[in-house]
Amino acid sequence: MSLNNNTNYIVSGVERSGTSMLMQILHAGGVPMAFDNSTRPPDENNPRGYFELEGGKIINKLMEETFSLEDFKGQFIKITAYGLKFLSPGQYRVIYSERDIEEILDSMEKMAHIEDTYRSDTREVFIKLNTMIKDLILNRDDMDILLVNYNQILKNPKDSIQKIHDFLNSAEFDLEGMLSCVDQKLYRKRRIL
Amino acid sequence: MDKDYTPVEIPTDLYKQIEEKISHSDVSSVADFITTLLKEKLSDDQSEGGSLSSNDEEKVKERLKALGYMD
Repeated sequence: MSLNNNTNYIVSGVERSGTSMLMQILHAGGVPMAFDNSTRPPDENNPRGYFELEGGKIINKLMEETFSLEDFKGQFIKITAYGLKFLSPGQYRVIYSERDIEEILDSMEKMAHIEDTYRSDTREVFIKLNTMIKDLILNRDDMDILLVNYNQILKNPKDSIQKIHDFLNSAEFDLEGMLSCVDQKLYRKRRIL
Repeated sequence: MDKDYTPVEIPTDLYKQIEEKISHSDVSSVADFITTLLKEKLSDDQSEGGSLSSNDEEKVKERLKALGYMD
């Protein structure tokens, strides 16, 4: 089972917006991907793993231009939203996840073990980041984008995952496997019922 | 002109606060008040969406470091 070897495939979104779940879904579908769970193994924040490269610190390498996207063509990698700012011209297909901002902030605070006393400022900044990055990627001619919503995936997995499957442009990936991956029990920090 | 509307729920306490607020103004209904406010907010967000200030960017980086996504 393969993707286009001339294209970089990316799962993205603001941190804690469901990017790891997207990688799990794709992995369950047999989609080629690159990750290394040894540098940041599964934990209470992501019990099924982070599905990241470079221990999650890929953004630094993108900023320094020391990350070779060429080596990862034809497979999905995870680059969170801020990192998309630093992508050189190329050929990309991106699945971009969004989530209720309060759930994102709750999850960030839990993961970072903080109580954010400036939460309204943080909220504003991450809303701006999300808007800016979406504008950026939706206007790049070298990117095809699928926007997905974490809350919707959990509410209506069949429709959302069918869209993801269709975006892969191949019937060979395991749609049922992808669907079976969605686990409501992992939907922590739920604000939207 | 016909317009499509979708009902949205807000907490009753909030509704009453808005009712009280607009009772001394020329806003005709809570729905009008909320609709105007949200349109303004969305418009502001769109116009600010083009870039992050350097201060905003530092806040993003700080949070990403706290989450282990950056050094």
